[in-house]
Amino acid sequence: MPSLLDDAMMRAAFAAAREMEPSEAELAGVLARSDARLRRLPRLRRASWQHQVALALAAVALLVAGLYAVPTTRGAIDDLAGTVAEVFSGYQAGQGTAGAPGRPLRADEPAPAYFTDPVPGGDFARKPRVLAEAGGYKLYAYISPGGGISFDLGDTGVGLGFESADEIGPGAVYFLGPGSMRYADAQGHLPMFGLAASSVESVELIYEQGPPLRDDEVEDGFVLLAEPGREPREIVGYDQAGEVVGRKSLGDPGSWLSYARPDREG
Amino acid sequence: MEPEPAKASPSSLGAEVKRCRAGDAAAREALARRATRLSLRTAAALLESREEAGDVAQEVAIDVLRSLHGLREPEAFDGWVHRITVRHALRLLKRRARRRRVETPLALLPEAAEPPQLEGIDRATVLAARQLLAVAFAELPPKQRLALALRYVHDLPDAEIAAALGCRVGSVHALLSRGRSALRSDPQLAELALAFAGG
Repeated sequence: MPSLLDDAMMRAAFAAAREMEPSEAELAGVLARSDARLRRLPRLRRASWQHQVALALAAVALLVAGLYAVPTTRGAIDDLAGTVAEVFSGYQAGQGTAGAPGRPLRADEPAPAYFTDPVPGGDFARKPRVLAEAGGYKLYAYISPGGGISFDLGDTGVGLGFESADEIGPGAVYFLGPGSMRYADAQGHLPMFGLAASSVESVELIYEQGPPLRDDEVEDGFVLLAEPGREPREIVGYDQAGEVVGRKSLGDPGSWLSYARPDREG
Repeated sequence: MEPEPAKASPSSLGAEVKRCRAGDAAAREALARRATRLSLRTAAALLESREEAGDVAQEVAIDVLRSLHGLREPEAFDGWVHRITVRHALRLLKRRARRRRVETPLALLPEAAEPPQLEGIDRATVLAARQLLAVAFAELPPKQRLALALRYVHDLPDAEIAAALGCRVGSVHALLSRGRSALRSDPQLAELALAFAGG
């Protein structure tokens, strides 16, 4: 059978792929997430510059005015405290488990099989942690073979990786994205994954329609089982006192409707 | 659904990349859509879940937008997207292989879009070919699947497939022929291919 015959059959068989289009929600997610990463760099540079200046001022003030330097130093530290990057930088740097995010895997707890794939120097996923779980979905963090930090969105083999925790950037709430609806329930809940600074005790998912979805047990990360038909708009992080410490826009709320089941829209 | 835009020429794509780099939001959205679409179509030929194909496409598009400043030849935007897609897809397929999970490509599943009307070929024949390919294609090694997907989903010539896979043109020829040969070894597929030849 000459290859030309295969060509006609193969093209016809793959017609569905040849015509497939991304949804508006997927496109909005790409624009929002890539934009966040692009913006992060100058903000990081600015934070680094502020940090250096603050430390220099503190050092000068210490030399010149002794105790008067204390508020300046504390102010500089406060500026940098309470970010998501702060939570994960120590973990990536290999500091002990005391301050590691989330919790370790339990001895009998199933984890993605590739976590234990052998790579030079050990397993594929080093120091795996469970940051949050809901509805069968788990958000994992681990150190990848190259030394970067990776987040696995719900045991689907899809996740986000950062070469350095600093790339996660300033802010108390970071939205990693929606995951695959692998364990979708009858209501078609969409898992939405994110990271939170240690100051964040609760997060709320604000919808265009109806009351928010709240999670009061946030420890460094969250999995929210969202109702896409109610058009998710924003994630808000609260500290122990109930004060807002971080906000993250989710882009055009209407774009999430494409995840909704037809009978659940609106 | 967004209508398929006219095929962009390399020079107009290059201009769009330059506009995006200069901060043009419309150009950025157009490139994001193009990258997501290209990657989604490849992923749909490899993975069996629409959500996962969409996830891969989004990751690829984010990588593309994030590193757009590093693209030396803006006219080669599509090829660059294919290269990044290949990298993501291979990583995912290798993980799946370790878990011994066989993927039936989304594009070949029964619920995939209606097959096109082909002169002299009835719908039942196309559906039968799709069903048989769904089983046979999933058994091929990842690089053969990728080479076939780039050829039959995007109509790429050997040289562009080689660029995407990071191998020589001769290797692409071998990958395609081995892949087709493996599919041809299924007697029912071979018989169906003859029906297409008759059409």
